[in-house]
Amino acid sequence: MSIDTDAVLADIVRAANPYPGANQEALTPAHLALRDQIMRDQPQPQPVSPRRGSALARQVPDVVRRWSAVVIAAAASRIRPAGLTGRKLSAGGIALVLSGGVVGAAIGFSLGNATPAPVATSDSVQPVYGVNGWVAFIADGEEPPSRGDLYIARDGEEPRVILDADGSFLGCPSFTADGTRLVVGRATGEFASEDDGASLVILDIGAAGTVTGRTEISLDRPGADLNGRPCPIWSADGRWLAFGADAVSHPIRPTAGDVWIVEVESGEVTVLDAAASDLAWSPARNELYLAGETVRVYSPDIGEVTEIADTERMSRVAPDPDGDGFIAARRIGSDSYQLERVDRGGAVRVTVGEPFTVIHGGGLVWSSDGSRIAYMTGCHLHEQGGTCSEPEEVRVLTLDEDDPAGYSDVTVLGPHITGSGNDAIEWLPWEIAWSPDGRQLVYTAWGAPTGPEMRDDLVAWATGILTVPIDGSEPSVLFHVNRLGQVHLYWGAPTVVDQMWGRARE
Amino acid sequence: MAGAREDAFVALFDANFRVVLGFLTRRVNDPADAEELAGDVFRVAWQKQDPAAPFGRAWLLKVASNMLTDHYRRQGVRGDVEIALKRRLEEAPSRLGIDDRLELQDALAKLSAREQEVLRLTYWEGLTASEVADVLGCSTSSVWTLLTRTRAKLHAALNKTTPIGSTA
Repeated sequence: MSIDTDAVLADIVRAANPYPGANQEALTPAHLALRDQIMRDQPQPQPVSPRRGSALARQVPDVVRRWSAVVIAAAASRIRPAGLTGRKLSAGGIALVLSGGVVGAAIGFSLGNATPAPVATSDSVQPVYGVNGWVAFIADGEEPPSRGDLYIARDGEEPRVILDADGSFLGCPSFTADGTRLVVGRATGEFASEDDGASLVILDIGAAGTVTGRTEISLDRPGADLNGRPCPIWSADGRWLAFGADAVSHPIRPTAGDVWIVEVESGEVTVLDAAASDLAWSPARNELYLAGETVRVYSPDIGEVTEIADTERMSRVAPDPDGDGFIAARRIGSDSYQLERVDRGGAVRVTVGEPFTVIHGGGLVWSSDGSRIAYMTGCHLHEQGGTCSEPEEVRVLTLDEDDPAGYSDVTVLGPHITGSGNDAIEWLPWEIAWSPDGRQLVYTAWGAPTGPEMRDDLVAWATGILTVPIDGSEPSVLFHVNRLGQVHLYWGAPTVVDQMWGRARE
Repeated sequence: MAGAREDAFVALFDANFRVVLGFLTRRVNDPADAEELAGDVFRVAWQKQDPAAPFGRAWLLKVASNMLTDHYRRQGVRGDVEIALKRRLEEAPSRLGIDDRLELQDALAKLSAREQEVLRLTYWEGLTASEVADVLGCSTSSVWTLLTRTRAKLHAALNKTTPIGSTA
């Protein structure tokens, strides 16, 4: 059986319906008799209104400031990287970091309606990169059999393919900090088997978005199983690449069973036998932060992993651009999180904002100047007793450690609706990344049709790439396909898309 | 007020009884059980319904789904739904050829129960995303995720290759 599109698949599944047209059949006299009997025989109704989706109160709860206190000792446990044979090394060392001194400083905020408040930019603080940098993503072309090619796009220009998948599976394009190189994970084998046929394809990108060079690093190693496409990210100096492998599925964020670090020049691979639900390179140092049940830092220069004390249940992490610490999401409920700013010794400097829930990925991501953090929030119907109708939205916090709330300003982005009538699409972010100048975000998004005749039509849902200014002005759709699955959203491994927006300048 | 309740119930019953019956018929072995369970669903609806806020199709199917769970437990039949579906597929005057039908049957059998259910609710019952979410007890976005992944798996199984937009 050959199936080219989801529409064909839908037709096939519908054709297998063993009871087609049943919903339209007329009621029989027996059914009508049953109906009348129910009304006649049953006791008087006890009306109970069905649960309806109602907007959650958009009021920020009181926030308690939590200052870091005296650091008595800041040792660390160290775990050496495992080799490809799965060598595990013991942890040693003791970390004692006390943080406390909880100071009650309640403060309330009203987020108001969905219209975002302008966020002041701070162009003078850090170098400003042109917003004409390229955005890279993986998508299917309009015409089969194009599948999962690497595209680049930017406002005002047609997206174009710069790497044909050619029967392989590409994933997670990432630019180096200077925007001159682009890496993409590639696999040619069956994911279910141990033969991934995986590699990292590195493309040199000219200012005009042309490919000027290509390097491929094979990841085939005896006994190694990536279990999917690698999803690589660059170290700040472009010397190293890292990605999670052998991921375990999770509805919110998959967890990698181990983490691979590749030295680009030599192709040498180091595998850390360390589960990670998030990983991020420090923008300031050659350090790879791994989040999981705790936060660990791997330094490829010395080949050691340091576990940071007092970071239990921190499952998402974003190292500070200045290298002095990091911000992390600490799990405080089944899927509730609290942002905390933490120094390199593990002391919590301040809790940031209110607790939030997560549906899927989307942050934490720093703006390049280190002034703002962006992340997605959402809620689960079952978590809220079936009354949650809060859409996925992106929050942009302007951080301020001297503020009792840990931030001085918040912008809530969304909902974003483009088009009108039956072409109207409400875009919901799946992953987010900053523009190099910190004025916009790029969403890898899925789109819900909201037109009067299209609402909730699953087949009409779309995927696309959006650029969203954080000053509240209208988003731009860089790439949009009216079909699910066309822009690749799922990677099956910790997804880090911070680097999908390059900095190449004309 | 009683008249209003009756009017609302008649409207609810007439619009949805066939939908609920079809949903149940596909999931139990004995059509008589389906008829009985459908009646039970509407008995609950009659007791609970507020004419000012009438129930929808998704609520009825959610109740039907709960009753099915209870039915399976009472019957001590595990995998009843799979057996019923297989038989229905074999008996149905399908628009698919026999080879394609068997291939699809095999592919569907490899999906998890939840994945099969999202396909059936979407393509057989014709539910909207939010209705599927109500029946499955999850968010609309979870339905989207589940459906996309399920279609990807089905693509892969039927095409014998990894599909568009698949999960690695």
